[in-house]
Amino acid sequence: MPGNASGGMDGIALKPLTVSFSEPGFVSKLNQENQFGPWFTLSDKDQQQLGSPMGPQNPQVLNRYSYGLNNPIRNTDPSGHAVPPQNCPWCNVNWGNIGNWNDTAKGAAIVGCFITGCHINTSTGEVTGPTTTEVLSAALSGMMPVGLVGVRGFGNVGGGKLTVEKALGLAEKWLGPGYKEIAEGVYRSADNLRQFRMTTDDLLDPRQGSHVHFESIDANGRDIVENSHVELTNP
Amino acid sequence: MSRAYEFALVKSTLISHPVVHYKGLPPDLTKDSDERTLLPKAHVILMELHHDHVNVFRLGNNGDIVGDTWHQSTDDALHQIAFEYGEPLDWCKVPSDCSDPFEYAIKRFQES
Repeated sequence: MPGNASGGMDGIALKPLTVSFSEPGFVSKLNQENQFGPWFTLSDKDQQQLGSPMGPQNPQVLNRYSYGLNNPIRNTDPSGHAVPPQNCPWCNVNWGNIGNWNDTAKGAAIVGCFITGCHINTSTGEVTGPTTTEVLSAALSGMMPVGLVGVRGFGNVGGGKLTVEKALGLAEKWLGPGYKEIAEGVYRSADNLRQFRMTTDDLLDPRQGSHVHFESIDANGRDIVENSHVELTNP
Repeated sequence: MSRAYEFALVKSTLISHPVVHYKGLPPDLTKDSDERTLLPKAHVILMELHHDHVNVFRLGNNGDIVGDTWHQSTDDALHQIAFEYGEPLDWCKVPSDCSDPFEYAIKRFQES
């Protein structure tokens, strides 16, 4: 095979097919990652600071023979450096400030935002889409196929926190068939004895964080007798 | 959007309240294992009055929210509170220029 000992071909330097663990870039990047600990234990802020979960701590990316995290059916990797999110038009999008929108539009935006994994600044009302890095990390954690990134649905029920999707699924179970929306984000069962609440105030609550309520109504059809508050998570 | 606040101190001597506030899913949704935590007793009730609904917050002695409910009208909210605490409460308005009504209400409780 033509070429030289360092992998060069016709004067063009080629990148070796396996990573040298003594590469200064590799060691530097690994040290940078090690300051933070495992990727999936990091806070959102630390993940953003670190920039990418695709560095040397992910052993799959060390193998330069592998393509698309060794899953060429699901993933593509045109640049050779990372698997870009597929079908993610909401990534890195600034939705603007929803603070002055009407309640219907605001509610729809907030629910959509939680499902797609965007961020809401509860002080300013500004909404921004997830970064491609966040979407990638979610895909890599096995929470979703890369081709369907942004659609989450594996809530941690036992741990006390739910994703919006999981909460909505449980709400349907809680309310049973024939429920109706009696006000924006407030749903009543057909027999009027159960209520699920996910109002804009609940989703944007600056004191308690985003949450929903599963409530039991007294036989008088008016008063709450049992109120279960469940936190939402926005991974 | 402007909203008004009113608060009342709870002096209820009821041993068992007809209304309970929990954190966590109801047992019907957790395969009948009760994973809920009972929230502490409220000492202050704070009503947040919107033009089309009312939120009622129950505050513990350190200001933590220990239960909140939503109501379509002030009448419904007061009905809920009477049902829950079984006694009429003395309501005070939070000044409209108050930047933190929660803090304001809990301070009044702590001073009482």
